[in-house]
Amino acid sequence: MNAQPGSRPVLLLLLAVLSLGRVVHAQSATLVADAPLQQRPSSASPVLKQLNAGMRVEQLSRTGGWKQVSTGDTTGWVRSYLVRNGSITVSEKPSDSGFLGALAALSRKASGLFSSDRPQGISTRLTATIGIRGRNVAAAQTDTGLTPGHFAGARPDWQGLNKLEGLRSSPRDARQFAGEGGRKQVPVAHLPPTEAER
Amino acid sequence: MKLRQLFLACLTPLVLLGGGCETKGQSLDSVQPGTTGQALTSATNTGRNMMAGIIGAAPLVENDRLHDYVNRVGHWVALQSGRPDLRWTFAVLDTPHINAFAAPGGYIAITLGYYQLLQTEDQLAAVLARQIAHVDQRHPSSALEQLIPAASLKALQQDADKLPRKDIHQPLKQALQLYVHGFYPGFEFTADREAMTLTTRAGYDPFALLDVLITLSSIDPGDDSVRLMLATRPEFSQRIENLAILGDRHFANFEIVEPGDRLRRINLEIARQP
Repeated sequence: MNAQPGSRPVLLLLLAVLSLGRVVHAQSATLVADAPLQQRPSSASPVLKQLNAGMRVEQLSRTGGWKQVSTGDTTGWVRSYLVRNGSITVSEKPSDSGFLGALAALSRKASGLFSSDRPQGISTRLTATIGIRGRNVAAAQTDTGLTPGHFAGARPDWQGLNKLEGLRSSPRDARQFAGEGGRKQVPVAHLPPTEAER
Repeated sequence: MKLRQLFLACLTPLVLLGGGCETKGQSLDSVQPGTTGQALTSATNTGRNMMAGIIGAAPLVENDRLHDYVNRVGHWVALQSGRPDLRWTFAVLDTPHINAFAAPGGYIAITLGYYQLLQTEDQLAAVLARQIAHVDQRHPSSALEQLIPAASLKALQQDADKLPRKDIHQPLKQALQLYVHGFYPGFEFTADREAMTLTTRAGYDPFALLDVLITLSSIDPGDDSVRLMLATRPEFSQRIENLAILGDRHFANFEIVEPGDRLRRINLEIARQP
């Protein structure tokens, strides 16, 4: 193939973009608890192998409450809530209070995002990633927060309320925005109440 | 017995019976879908007044683009509820603490700290859907009717633009205690379940709220940023377990739309604003 002079950087850029897309699709993730790797997204399907808490996997796709993951040598399906994006470290002494206790302990110990010795309670990583530049971030990082005392001492802000009401969306704008984002109404009946509600 | 437990113990039987004092003002609980007239006006006024109090406790984030985004997503989800006709209003509060609040009439607030935790628009929709579900199920109205005296409720139902505003300050102070005491725990589980429905109806991931709860459960419970939220909600572990069962039962093979990256793009756009 005889590429035109000057076309090479464009091709390289295109390749870079394409490969970036592939990387984005296969997200690094971690198992938050021991879990079976199923052949298909169903607990009735054969178990390919047993995965352990803390194991790093590549998340390939998602369907319903299942995520397709690759361990390197095997690809299968795991319950979605057992897979957490990013990497966390396994506690050497996992909690013995079941899956959820273990999950909380693992995440707290390992994520490093949140700890009580951070005065503001918000990770610098999160702030750096999604923070809103300007006065608001500065305010968010220095505010004392929103505690019972703030509610007790609150003086109504009528001016702020008027401004907020001017920022409402109309139903038409909301529908259009949803459509632009590829969201369509899905007919779903109300789910039945659970025992916990009673 | 702790104050909150005492409050809940008193509130629960009354709420479950759908009760209310006959001496109260206009019953907020009577606002049904499509309701017009005095009941709707009373609920809207109450919500407006409470929202003025909420943003008095923590100011609005001064960013119209962020509010525009949250209001569009929130309104779309609210259109799937039993109260599409309300004047849905969504505020983002400038505080790093993680919390969300619902007031009668469709007034909802989430904190910037909470927004910053969210990774996708699906998760934003799910968090808003939970508060929309509270309003849809008339939880704030029911709780207020039990929490504050009749005279205070009546004052809150007035249009603040037509009254001496000092008349509203004390009733508002009482009403804002709702967010310190929290709802009856059963309401919270109902909101989780209804949020899963609303999120799905709006074309988002039914499991998005579950993802958010798992993230929330990873925060040190001793951290100031979640102290009030933890004090006013059932244990995350119970809620996660409950939602996981519901999800598996009803959406195990649901075809999920790719989340897209609109939330990230809008965050970047906001971050680049001068």
